[in-house]
Amino acid sequence: MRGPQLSIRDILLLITGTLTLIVALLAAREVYGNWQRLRDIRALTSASILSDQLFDATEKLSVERDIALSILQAPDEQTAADLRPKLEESRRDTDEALRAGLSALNRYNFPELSALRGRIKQQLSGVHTLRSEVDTAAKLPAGDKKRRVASRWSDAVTSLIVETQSLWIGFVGHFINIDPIVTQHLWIKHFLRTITDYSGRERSLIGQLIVENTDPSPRQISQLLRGRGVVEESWQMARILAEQSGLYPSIAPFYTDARSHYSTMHDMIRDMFYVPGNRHGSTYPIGADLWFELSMQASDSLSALRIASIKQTQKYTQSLIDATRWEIEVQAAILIFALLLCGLSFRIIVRRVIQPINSMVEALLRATRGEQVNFVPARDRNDEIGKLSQVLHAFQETLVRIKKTAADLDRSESHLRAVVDHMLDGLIIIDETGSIRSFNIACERIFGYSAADAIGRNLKFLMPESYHPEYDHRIAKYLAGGDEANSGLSGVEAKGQRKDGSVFPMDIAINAFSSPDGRHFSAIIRDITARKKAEEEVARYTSELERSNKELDDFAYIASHDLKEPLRGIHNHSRFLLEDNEDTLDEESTGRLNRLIFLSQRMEKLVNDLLYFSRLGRQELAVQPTDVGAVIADVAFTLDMFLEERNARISLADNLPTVVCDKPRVTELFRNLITNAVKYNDKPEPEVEVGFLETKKKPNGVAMKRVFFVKDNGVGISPEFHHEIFRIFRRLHAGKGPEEGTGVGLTFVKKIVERHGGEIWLESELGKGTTFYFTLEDFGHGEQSRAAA
Amino acid sequence: MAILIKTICAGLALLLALPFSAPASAGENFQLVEQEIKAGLLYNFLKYTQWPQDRTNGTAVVCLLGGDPFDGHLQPMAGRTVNQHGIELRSVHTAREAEACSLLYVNASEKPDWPMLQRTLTGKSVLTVSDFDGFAQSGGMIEFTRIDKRIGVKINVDAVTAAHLTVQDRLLHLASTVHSLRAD
Repeated sequence: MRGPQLSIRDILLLITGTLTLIVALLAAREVYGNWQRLRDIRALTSASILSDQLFDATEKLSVERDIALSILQAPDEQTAADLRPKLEESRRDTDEALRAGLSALNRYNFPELSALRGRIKQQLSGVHTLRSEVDTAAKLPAGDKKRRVASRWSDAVTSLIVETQSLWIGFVGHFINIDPIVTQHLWIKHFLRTITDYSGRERSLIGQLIVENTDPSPRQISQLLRGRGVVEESWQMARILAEQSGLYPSIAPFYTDARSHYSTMHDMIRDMFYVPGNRHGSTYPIGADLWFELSMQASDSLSALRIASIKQTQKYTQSLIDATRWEIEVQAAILIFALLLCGLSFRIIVRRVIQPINSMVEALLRATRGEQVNFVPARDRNDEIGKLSQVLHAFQETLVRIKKTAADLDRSESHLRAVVDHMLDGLIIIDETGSIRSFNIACERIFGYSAADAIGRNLKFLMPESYHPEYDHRIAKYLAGGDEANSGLSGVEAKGQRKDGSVFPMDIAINAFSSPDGRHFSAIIRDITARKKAEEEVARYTSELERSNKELDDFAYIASHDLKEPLRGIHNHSRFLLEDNEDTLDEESTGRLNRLIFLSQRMEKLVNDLLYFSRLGRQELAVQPTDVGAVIADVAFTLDMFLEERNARISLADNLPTVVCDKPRVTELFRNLITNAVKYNDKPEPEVEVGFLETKKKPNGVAMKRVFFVKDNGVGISPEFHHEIFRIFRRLHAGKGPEEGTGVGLTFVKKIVERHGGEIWLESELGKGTTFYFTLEDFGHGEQSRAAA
Repeated sequence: MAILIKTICAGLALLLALPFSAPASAGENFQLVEQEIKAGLLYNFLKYTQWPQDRTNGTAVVCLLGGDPFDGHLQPMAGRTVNQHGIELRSVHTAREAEACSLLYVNASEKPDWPMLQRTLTGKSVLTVSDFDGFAQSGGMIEFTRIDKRIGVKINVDAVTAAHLTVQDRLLHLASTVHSLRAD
């Protein structure tokens, strides 16, 4: 069973909260304890006062009792009369003291004392009633009634005194344990009360002896002596307790005064009443009134002592109250301080631990969700949190890098994917078992299968069954190794089968590559149906063209060959006619016959050229490595006369190479170009330059390699004729004689160049000269190295 | 508690010791008892009389002029206190010596010299006490009397007042029984 899950924050909150609560409870308990103590001490203070009031009341009661008794027992009127004012005074004192004590007692609600209080009140009213009886009886002559009243009075008051004393003891008992010092003070009071009590008994007894004027009986003397002992002992006890409780120094003057007073009084009467038989002449030398007065005066001293000690007790309890109050204040301050401290520590924990952890957790959560995280590490901290945050920061930076790399990879992958998807060729990835792993869109288009259909199947399912043995053979050969294994299997024509069952030709290139999953093969597949068709078309056209050209060449050859015979006949017959009839023929006819001979000769030349041209197209080239420089030198040598005649000069470049070509044709080529260059030249010294360039751009911008050129300083050719001049029998400058060209020279040149797989073009400027450029080698079909441009 | 027990034991010892004081002869004893009462009363006189501030000095000086009529019974008073003043006993022989006293007890044997002494002490704050007849009337302040064999006290308030002394009501209570006698 698991409890509710608590976060670190909750646990820390719980701990601080509990600690705060404990501190608060402890402090509150202390405060409460002190508060109660304060209340107790206050109660003790008033209780102490009350106890003194009760004490005072018993004292006053005993004085009243004694005086009243003395009056009732007085042997003569005079004595009673003398005591009368004292009795009145004493009654007032008694009433006042009892009233004060009882009303003060009302403030306390001690159940066990309430009955006692009720009895005291009852007895007090009984005493009040007896007072009038005493007054009445006092006027009567001595007798039984007077004695009875005296006896009842004595009993009633003594009983009241006893009850009051019980009340005092019962009351004080409630406070006896509050404070040891105050308890000692109460004990001192107790001993002072004992002194009062026994002094009262002595006063009563002696008063009785004086009034009755009788000798003390041995029992009375014994009573006196015992009282004396108790009083003496009480004085000593009071002093010892006062010294122990520290009270004595402050009450010492009152103590010595009271004790001196009592001792002095005792000295006064000691020999008179404590020794039997000292009453001489049947009369004591002291009157009852004087005696009571002296006794009351002595109790004045005791009262002063009591008041002094009350004051000291109050002072002491006040100091207790002040100290307790101070303690309460200090404890309350400590409580508040502790709570503040707890609050502060909680705040510190929240700020220094919980918040950093929270932000770290938050950052981690966000990082987990793939959101942007911008976590700032606590660099100023060297503790666990600081280290943790630094680790997290490092982690975050790594994460950023990883994400960037992943994004780059993603981009490149999607780029690749787009390339693969949009490539026209089909791309299939297969594993070593031949099982298809990847099948691109082009494949789907080519084969009609979806990628889902294809993936997982063997590559062979894309081929017609009849082709399988060949494929297996090829693959086996491929896998067996050799160079093919390294360079891949490329450009193999194979047969594919579409989903609809149709078979089509395809070009397949297979290449092996290693990936973490093992060896894989990529197969690039191209549907070559269209290409095949185009190739077939081209082949058909080519053969047609070839047939057409051959027919044309055949026709030209046959025509020219067959034409030569009639032409020869025309020529010969014309010559025969002219030679045979030289004399008979008029001038005009002679002219016409010569013209006919000339025309037939020209016709023959034309036919010969045509025949030659047709031969150029028909005959195979006899290629051999040929030194172009030697070829030109040969040409120059054969044209020596011609060049000299024209004052022309030929300059050759040093770098003329050796090329594989048909030497006689190339000689023809150069002879034509050089002849043209000199022939169509208006300069007094025609110049012809033959050279060779490794590269040269054609006017359309295409760069050509290994270019020869023949440059002259002739009349130049207008641009509109740059193509025209290569056409057969096309002449820009009409000649007059039969030696003039037929206009086939440049046509031959172009044909020879083309037969070598080269190209020819020209650059010219009117009046300045023309340069013919040409190549003699085939560097691939069409125009050379377009890429080089 | 141990102290308490000890004290109780001491009290009991005192209790047992007292009854064995030797009884004196009857006549002597009566005289003795009378003097004891008078001696005791002197304490009350000291207690309820107020001297001018400059006279007190922290000590109540009780002087006996013309011998000790108390037969040494005054002696225990020496060392006791009254109104927080220590009590000192002196025997004086001349009026000059008497001037320094708080209370001067004039022995009855000095009665002849009293008028002269009284004149010397006039205006001095000395409470004068004696027991010869007419002492109060002749300018003395407190006079012990005997009425029906019982000791009484007369107070000459005029003399007391003249000496810049104040007696309290309590003292007058002591003298109240002889007040009527004081009138003549």
